[in-house]
Amino acid sequence: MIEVRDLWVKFGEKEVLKGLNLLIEEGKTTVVLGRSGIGKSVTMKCILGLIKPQRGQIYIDGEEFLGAGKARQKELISHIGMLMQNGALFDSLTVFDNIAFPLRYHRKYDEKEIGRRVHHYAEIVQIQDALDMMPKDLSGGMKRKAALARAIIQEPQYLFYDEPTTGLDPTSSALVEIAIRKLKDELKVTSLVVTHDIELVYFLAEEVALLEDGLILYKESRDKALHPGSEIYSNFIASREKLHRESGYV
Amino acid sequence: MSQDTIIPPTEWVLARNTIINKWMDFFYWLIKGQFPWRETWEQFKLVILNGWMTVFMGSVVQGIFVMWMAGFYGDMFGGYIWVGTVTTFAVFRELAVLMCTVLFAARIGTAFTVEIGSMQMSEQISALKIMDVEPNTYLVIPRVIASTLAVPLFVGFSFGVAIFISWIFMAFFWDLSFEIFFLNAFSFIDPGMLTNSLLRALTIGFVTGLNAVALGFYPCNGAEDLGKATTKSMVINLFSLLLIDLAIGMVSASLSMGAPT
Repeated sequence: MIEVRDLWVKFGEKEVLKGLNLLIEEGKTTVVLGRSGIGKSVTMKCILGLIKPQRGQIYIDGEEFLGAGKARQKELISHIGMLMQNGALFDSLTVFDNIAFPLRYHRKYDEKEIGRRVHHYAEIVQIQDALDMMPKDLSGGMKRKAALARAIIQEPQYLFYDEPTTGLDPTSSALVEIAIRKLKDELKVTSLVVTHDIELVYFLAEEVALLEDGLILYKESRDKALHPGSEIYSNFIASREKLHRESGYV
Repeated sequence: MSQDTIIPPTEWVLARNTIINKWMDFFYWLIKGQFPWRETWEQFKLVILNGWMTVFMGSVVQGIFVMWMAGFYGDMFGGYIWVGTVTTFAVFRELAVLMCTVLFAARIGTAFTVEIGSMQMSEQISALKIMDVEPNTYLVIPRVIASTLAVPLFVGFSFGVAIFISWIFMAFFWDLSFEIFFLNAFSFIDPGMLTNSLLRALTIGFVTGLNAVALGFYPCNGAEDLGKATTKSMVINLFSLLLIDLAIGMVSASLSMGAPT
């Protein structure tokens, strides 16, 4: 379980997070919804130690992360894998080498075992036919899936997804969504997804949180959040339709 | 202006801070981290492969240029048999190091800056950190060590090419024999000059490599910032290499170490 308490982040004069609280429950998929630039990725990066908050506490499996020493922090986040917004594959390496990268770098296994593991995880995310390709030759969806295989090859306990379907066509989005769902079911990972894509809520979420004005304003179960009378539904999910209607064009 | 007004740091202040931080990180991780042998070897091969053609072309032009100057004026004063000496002295003493390091800063240095800068923009550096890979060990140290080792090799290569091209052109235009050219060519070269050139090449290779890599970590939020970082990498490295060349030249001169007094 990961718990974020009273998290404050400021960039220059701009306050991005203003005392954010969030609970990521064990074994569940939590989707954080919010408009672009509201601080969703910042929250994730704080948990991973990539951004240092001004104030707050982050508990990973009950242990305070921010106050821990550097070595302990590394150990705590070694249980977390992340899919970055555009995959962040290394351009100079093939898909195979990208997926094998963390295992090779940390010299965890011999080449034969690394090869076996790469093929296994590539198959789970359905990227096995592209292992010899370079990232520049992949479509957006394939890139995300390759990055997903790289994120799970170290068998993390938690998986973070930063806008996993942004910029993808509906078919590619669906394939990425299916890969994420498959990982959740097969590997039993606890997932945190930050997005503004409502489809992800329908397909993946068990818990839904709404980030607005630097705070988690509401957190509800998926069914509750998707109910037309709920706060999340009226404040975010239905906002597009509402604005369209108000504009007078629809 | 009120006391509360915060003046945002200028681009050059940011660049300076980025370079200072990365210099400190380099030495910290060189001592603390495990030395990345494999990555350093890979980078060394890449630097040699990517840089040799540029250095070769530059050396050909340099050889022709120096030969032409020495041959033309030597002919005017009836002393063209000394062209080999003049060319070797000029290239070995100064021009090979200067030309090679300028080309190195342009070809390899800017490539380092752009590569790391784009890795930063596409979150590849964050991805490294998440995979528990220290970017200083994986990206910075191998490139800096590769530069430090590659520049002296390029200088040696450039020297050889320039002298050989000089002779070919000399033989073509002035019908100077191989024996006379090379007999006179090395008559004024001494070990002190070799030490001097090697020292300058090593120092400039290290400094330009580290500056270029450091500026890859310049805060980049888009193509414009990356362009600025790359320009700064080139400008800072050009000034750095000229200053280092001057400083080592002056020190060598005062120690009579292969430098003209």
